[in-house]
Amino acid sequence: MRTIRQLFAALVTAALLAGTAGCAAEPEPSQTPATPTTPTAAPGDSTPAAKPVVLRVGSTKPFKTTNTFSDYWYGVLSNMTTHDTLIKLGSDMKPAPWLATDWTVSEDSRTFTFTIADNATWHDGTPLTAENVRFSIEYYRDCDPEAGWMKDVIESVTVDGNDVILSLTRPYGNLLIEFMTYPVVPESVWSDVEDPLTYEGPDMVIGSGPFVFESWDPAAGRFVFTANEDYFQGKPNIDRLEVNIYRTMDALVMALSRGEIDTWWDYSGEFPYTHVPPLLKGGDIEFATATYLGVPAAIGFNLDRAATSELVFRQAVASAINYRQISELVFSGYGSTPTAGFVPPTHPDFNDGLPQLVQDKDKAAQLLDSLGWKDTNGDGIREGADRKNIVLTLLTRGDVPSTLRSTEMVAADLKAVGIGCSLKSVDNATWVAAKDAMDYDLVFFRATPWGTLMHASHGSGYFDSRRTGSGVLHNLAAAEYLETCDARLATADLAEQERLDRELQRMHAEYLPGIALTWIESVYPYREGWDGWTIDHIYGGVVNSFSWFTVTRN
Amino acid sequence: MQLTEHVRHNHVALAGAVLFAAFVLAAALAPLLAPHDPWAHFKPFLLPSTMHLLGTDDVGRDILSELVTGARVSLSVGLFSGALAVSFGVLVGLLAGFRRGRLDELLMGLTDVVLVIPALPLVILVSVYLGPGLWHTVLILGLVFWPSTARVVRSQVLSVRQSGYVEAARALGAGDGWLMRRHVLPNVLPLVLAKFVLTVAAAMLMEASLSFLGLGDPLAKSWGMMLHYAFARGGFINELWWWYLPPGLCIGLCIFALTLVSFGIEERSDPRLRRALDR
Amino acid sequence: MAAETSAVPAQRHEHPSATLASRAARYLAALFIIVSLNFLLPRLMPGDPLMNLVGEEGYYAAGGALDELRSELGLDEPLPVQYGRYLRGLLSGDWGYSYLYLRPVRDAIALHLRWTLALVLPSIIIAALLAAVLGGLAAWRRGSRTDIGLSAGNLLVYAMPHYWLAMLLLFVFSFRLGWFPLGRATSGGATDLPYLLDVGWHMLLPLVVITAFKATYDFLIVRNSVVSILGEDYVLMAQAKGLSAASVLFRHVLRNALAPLVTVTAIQFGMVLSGALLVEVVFSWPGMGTLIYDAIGARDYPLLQAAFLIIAVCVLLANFIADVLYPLLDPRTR
Repeated sequence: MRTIRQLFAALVTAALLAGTAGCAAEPEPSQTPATPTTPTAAPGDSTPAAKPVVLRVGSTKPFKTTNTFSDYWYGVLSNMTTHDTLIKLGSDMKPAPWLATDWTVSEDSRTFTFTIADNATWHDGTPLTAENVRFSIEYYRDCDPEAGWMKDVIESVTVDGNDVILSLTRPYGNLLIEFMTYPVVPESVWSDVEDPLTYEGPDMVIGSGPFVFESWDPAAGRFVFTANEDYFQGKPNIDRLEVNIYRTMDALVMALSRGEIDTWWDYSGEFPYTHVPPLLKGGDIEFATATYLGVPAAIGFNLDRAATSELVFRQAVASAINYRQISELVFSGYGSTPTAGFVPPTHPDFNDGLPQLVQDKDKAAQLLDSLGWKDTNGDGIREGADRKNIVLTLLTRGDVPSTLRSTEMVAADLKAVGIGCSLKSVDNATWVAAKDAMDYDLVFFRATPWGTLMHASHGSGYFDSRRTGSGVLHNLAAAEYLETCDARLATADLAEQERLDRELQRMHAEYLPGIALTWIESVYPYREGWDGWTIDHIYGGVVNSFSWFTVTRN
Repeated sequence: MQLTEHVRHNHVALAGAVLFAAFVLAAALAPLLAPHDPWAHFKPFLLPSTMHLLGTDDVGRDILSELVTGARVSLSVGLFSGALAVSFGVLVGLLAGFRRGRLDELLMGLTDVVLVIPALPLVILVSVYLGPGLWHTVLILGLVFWPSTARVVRSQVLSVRQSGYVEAARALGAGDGWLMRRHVLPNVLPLVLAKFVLTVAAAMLMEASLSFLGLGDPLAKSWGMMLHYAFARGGFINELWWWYLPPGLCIGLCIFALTLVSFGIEERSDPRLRRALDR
Repeated sequence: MAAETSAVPAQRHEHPSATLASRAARYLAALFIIVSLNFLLPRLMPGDPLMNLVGEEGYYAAGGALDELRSELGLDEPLPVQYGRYLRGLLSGDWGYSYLYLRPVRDAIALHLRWTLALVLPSIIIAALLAAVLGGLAAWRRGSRTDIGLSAGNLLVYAMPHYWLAMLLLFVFSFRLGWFPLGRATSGGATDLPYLLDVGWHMLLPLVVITAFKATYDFLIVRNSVVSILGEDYVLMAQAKGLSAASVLFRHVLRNALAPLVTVTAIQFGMVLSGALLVEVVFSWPGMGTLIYDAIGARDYPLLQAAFLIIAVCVLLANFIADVLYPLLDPRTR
């Protein structure tokens, strides 16, 4: 009797076990499109069966679906692969033609005319027309919450032959930059879809781009794209593109050094320098370098607080920081000391007349003394105008190790000249809330490549007090600055833009709303044997739309 | 007192106690023992040498100094959480055992419920809401670990109350206070101590887990936080075993030591085990 | 998650007279409290309750439509009304939307839960078997070199943080030696038997870690349980009757020692599940651990709440099952 009961208990457990294992063992459904697959090679193709060129890219970004509207990361990836934009930013930092082979801007910067290529097609073979482009722009304007600015700025979109004409409500010099991020989407798929953010139809992956979506396997974390043989710019040099997702940088680097992938991709982030040595060891990984367009570590001032509202105090802070140590220790020597203009030389119209920041403790002490803020009681901290110790609240992200490291160093540098610091290290959400509430004296932030191009460009997007956004400081309200930003936005004249760009950078140095802590040389690892990469400063290094047509494999 | 006799005669517990005491001593004397200022910057990623016995980390801080200073944080969190949890547990156990009736039912029901709730997910959830901070961690851990102490104390109170001579004493007019002082507390102490020791170990491990997940206080250099940085800043991929091994080993050794102590105490105080051991 | 057990087998059965019904009532009360806790936390914790309810990304995705979202979720209604709404939502399967996974929370959880169970259930069984054999052996030869060796070795493995052990294993066996994959549950592209084998190959290292983690606990339970039983009179009698050592060990001692093991396994289910979470993160195993880790990073509160609820419910179930099984196994109640 006993044994039967025990046997029964054992059987029940075994059954439960088998059941769960069985449930987990169902392969997860991976997405494949319902549309016709890539057309086979054209009949006239005479090359013998050459080995297909396969590029395997690794990424740590959190991709979740294949909806370019709702999934931020897939949106970025699809921009380079399955979809086309009207123009792109070339490596020379000037707009390059893409789907729009040419464009003109009216004198008053209120009318933009794009000429659309006449040989572009969608992945299902139907031609891409100027009408399709008009549909896309209006679709973004009406249905995409992220494109809300279009409602304010774009008055009408009309089509004339191959041209798409945008009439604006007001001069908007930045329109070209904006259109680098909105890919053209097929009317046949989206015209019936009222809410693109929740759409899950398999045809949402259809575009006109150099690659056709083949599959997405969430369990294995892999996207597969195949070359679009009929692409209007010609077939890309790569026959098959795989994007493998890794959860940690360690896993990605392990895969790269073991030959499981060929290169790494991240939009707007930099490759962690701490992970370079293991790649150098194997000897078969090479690195492309480019000066990062953004600012990976910077501080911003709260211009309304007692101490930080004083320009002389901010200048003292700028002289107290050991920039070299930050470049050496946090960025493994790949950093260089910036100027007070904020943005690095990669930007067009870089103002090279501005002095480089330099640590000069004597000068810092002198400046602080000139304010009358001395340490009278010998405790090592100076007293401010209110006769109390100056203790600044430093707001920083605790969940990004490199940011925290920089913060600790700056705090130590400030203490060395008699400025006390209290560190407030929080997670992202709390950081955004505290920053927007101006609940700090100094805030540590980073400026992304795209972020530095926003608004009136050259970093003005971060400081203009009228701006909003989760990464934006909006701390400078000087009338002169705001007027310059407006003037820059209102003009499309290149000479005038240059003059205003230089002005903006000069004002950054003059007002010091923020200080860049370092500029860096970004590194982009790739397996040897690959050659001819084109650098794209926005989309991240070597993996971008231009490379598809320039890269070769030995 | 009976307790020190227990410990002295029990080599296992003694060994554990000595090992743990060594860590506590090191933590207390950290400023003297650390060869360098744990916040000072040297060259990063230095290999172990006579100047830096455990090398330096990603921003050039001496790892040995960080390790010794980190002991303070890790041990404090463990000890304070343990103290909080056990105090609360003793309180609940005594209340439930002495008052009986509805209060007892309620408290034991609460104990059962808290026992059943999985600790780590709950602590994660509350930590995410509260944000980083050592005292948050101590508070949450204290609130999660009290039930098993409460149970032990309560059952001890019950068994003492039911023994013959206590009933006789009560008949003669002895009150709860006397009962508690003369009979309950002395008997309960070894068990509570064992529970305290185990709770400290559990709390230390939980703090390390939270730090690993990125929920720890990044400005407080606990061993768990050191592991977190070692993992996040290329310690593993660069094979810097002198960076990621020591903190893990320290955590492990402390828990090992504490577990030995608690086993030693329990073995001596549980009559059934004692009978088997003495056979 | 060290030691919330003692060396003495579980004390839960100090009320042998407690009926199954009263136990069930206790579990229902626990469920009620957990559900209520889940309801109260986002509304009581610091931060905007709206953000606590939809997560950080959801909050920012709403843009200017925060007030509409607030009334849509019923946040301006009185608390009891909100509670009713919440319960109804819970029962109807509406657990909120995850902006991290861009799908309903319920779907995200379902996807991940099965991977965790696939990892945890086999490891529990294997750990119990391993511990039964080794623990029994150590107890039988208590005091000998075998016992000391096994106990010390066991204690060392028990003490080390298991996620740290996991990282070491990953590094040595997957990266340096290349014997195992670098993480995830599958390399993709296979079906049927090759798929199962592929998953098994990916599962081996995390399984070893979690099994070791659980086995070290079980070892202690079994050893102490067997040692205390060996002190019992009926064992002495069996030996006096002339039964062989093996016979005594297996027919009398082990079978009786197994009952506490089963119940302790159930009680520790929560602990094992929690431990598995950290190991999953190290091995990128797509289970609840990875889900929680991602949700923490994205501050996806609805996902975290649901994960906590599900795990708590699993633990309650495991305890209940143990209560059902224990009387079948406990020698004293036969």
